[in-house]
Amino acid sequence: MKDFEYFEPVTLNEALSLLIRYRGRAKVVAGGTDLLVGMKQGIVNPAYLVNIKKIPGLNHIDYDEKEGFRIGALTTLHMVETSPETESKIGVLAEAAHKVGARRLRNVGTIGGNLCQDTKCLYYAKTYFWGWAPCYQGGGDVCYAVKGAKSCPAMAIAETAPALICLEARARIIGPKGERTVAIEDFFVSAGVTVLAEDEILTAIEIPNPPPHTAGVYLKYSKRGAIDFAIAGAAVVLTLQSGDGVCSNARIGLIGVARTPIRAKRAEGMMRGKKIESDLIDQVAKSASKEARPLGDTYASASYRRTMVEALVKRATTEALAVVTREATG
Amino acid sequence: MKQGIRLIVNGDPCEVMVKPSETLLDVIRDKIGLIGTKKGCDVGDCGACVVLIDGIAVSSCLVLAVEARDKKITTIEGLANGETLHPIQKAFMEHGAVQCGFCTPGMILTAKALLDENPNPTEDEVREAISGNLCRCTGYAKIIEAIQAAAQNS
Repeated sequence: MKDFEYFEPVTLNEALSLLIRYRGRAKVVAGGTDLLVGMKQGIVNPAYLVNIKKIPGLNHIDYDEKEGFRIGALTTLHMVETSPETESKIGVLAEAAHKVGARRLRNVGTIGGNLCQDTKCLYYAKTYFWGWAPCYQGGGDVCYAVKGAKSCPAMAIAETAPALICLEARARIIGPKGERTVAIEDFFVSAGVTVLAEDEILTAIEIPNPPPHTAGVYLKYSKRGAIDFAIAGAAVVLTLQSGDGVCSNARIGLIGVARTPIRAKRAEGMMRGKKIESDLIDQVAKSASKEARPLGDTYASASYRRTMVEALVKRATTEALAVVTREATG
Repeated sequence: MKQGIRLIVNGDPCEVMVKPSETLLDVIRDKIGLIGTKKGCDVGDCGACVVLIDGIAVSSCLVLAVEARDKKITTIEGLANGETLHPIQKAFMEHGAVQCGFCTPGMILTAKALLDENPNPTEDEVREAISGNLCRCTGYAKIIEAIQAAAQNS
């Protein structure tokens, strides 16, 4: 790891001042389970490292029946996974948080960091080690994974994103010009690139209180049962009308199937206002698979991911329907 | 720019001079001299470098030494009580859960973190707990047995 100057600000203002003063040469570190890897690989080299873990007020899960959830960006994935409120009210997020990495990584990895993760393309990771010129992601003008690519084709792998998108979550961001919020589905630009400017910090994730009879499921497909990033992941959240079991709202969040996490909007629309049955689920899954724009990369081909999306959405919708029906009638 | 920091390792305060870029793993091994904690992948994937910080299992390769200032760090060397092995260490020996031994310190500390939180885990819970610790030798069966035995005997 190249040397850097290290700071532990104790207020957001202190942290922002550092990011402004050293704009472009400073990086924020939270859990460190993503950033430090890139720094060790020599592909991310901040001259100034700003550890924000000493700033109070960013590590919390607050729930209010009217306002919904406010989860501090420094909340560890383990806390998100095990908080009784998230488990009972937004279980799909607890499920997604649980599937990230391993327990020891979730002990320190934060939900904010999960959204800001850098791409895990193997070529990008090894560029410095092999002594190659930087690729697009590293600030260069070439891609080693996909010949002739005009920009970085890697996919964002923020695994909590599909669930957050389904829950209509928003990111709260603070910067020198003040605070703003961005819908999670608009938070991502490409793999490892978010809408955060160099002098901004993600402070919280805000999730509106889900309507009654709302529940969902997050399914992840990866080669190994643990530690692996998702090759594809699907979150499905359904809201059923009470009484007749008709679906009043459906959200499908996908990852590993486009450069950023996406919603399968056409597939969602097919379920609204209908009673969900297995034929409809098949069509929904096919539509989601068509809406996916996966790219082949070092982990799986595009056609494989497309096939996986169909299977994952079919299973996730079936399971989500079972969960929400149980919850609505139980 | 080096700075002096105090790390409390296995109950003993250690004063070391470190650069901000030095990881806790490297400082534990190279400066404090406790080589029980192993460097495997150095990027947080293998679990060989697990230590407990305030009782919580973390990959020490992804912790900057400066971040661990004044925290209570437990390495594998901190488990035995003089000549008396910790029940988990004994169970690993008795059940043949150690072959080359490289994954063992990380495995045992991960197991300790599990049992401290959940003294009676099911087999699935044990498997889940060690799912992030790679072992190339044993095939995990004996490790799971040992952890379950240690849970039984405590």
